[in-house]
Amino acid sequence: MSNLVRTTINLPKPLYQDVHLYAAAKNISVSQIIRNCLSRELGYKNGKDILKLAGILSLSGKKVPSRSQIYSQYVKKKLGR
Amino acid sequence: MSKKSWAVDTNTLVYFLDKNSPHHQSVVDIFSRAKKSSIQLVITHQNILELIQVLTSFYHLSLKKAVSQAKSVINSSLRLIYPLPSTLSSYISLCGKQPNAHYHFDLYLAATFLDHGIDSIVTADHKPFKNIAGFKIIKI
Repeated sequence: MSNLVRTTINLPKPLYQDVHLYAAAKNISVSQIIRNCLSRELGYKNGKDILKLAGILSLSGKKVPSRSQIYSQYVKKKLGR
Repeated sequence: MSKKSWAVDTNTLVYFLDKNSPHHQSVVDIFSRAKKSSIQLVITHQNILELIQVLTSFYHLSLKKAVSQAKSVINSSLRLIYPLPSTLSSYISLCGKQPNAHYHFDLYLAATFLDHGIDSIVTADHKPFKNIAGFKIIKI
């Protein structure tokens, strides 16, 4: 990984502690987490162009329900009402 | 300077995927315009859950197929964000300013975007967001 540059950053103590706990739980390095976060923040992503997914589904063409309808239906089902 | 970003609502995502939707071409045009202008399109974890819920419950896709579509979206060039620790208080603050009690989940979505500095949303349902100060709506 010769293209890496060593740098120093300042973090609030709770964030520093949390990121170390998170790294241990995920079994990855803190550096990797910071690289991932920075890449995400800066919009780096090598994903497939979203435009290639246009029209990949052939649905009914009907209107999508409002968010409150989506959740109401789900909550009612869960609460048995 | 950070890259300009537009939030994408779940309804917009469905219309983009559904070639039979009367809104399909309009959304494709907006996404193409974003690409040309180097505007990053952004979704949240919440959008992914809603996408799967809508595809299975309202369009009757199998869970397997809905998850497969969601994975394609996750792995696409869309930026995927998630709530921050501050998002709960942002949401509570937005609730306090809203006259309508039916928009909690929309407000939580808006709070997630706002916490990431994203203040524009592409949506077919502008009502839940229209009273949020500084949150711009791009109608499809």
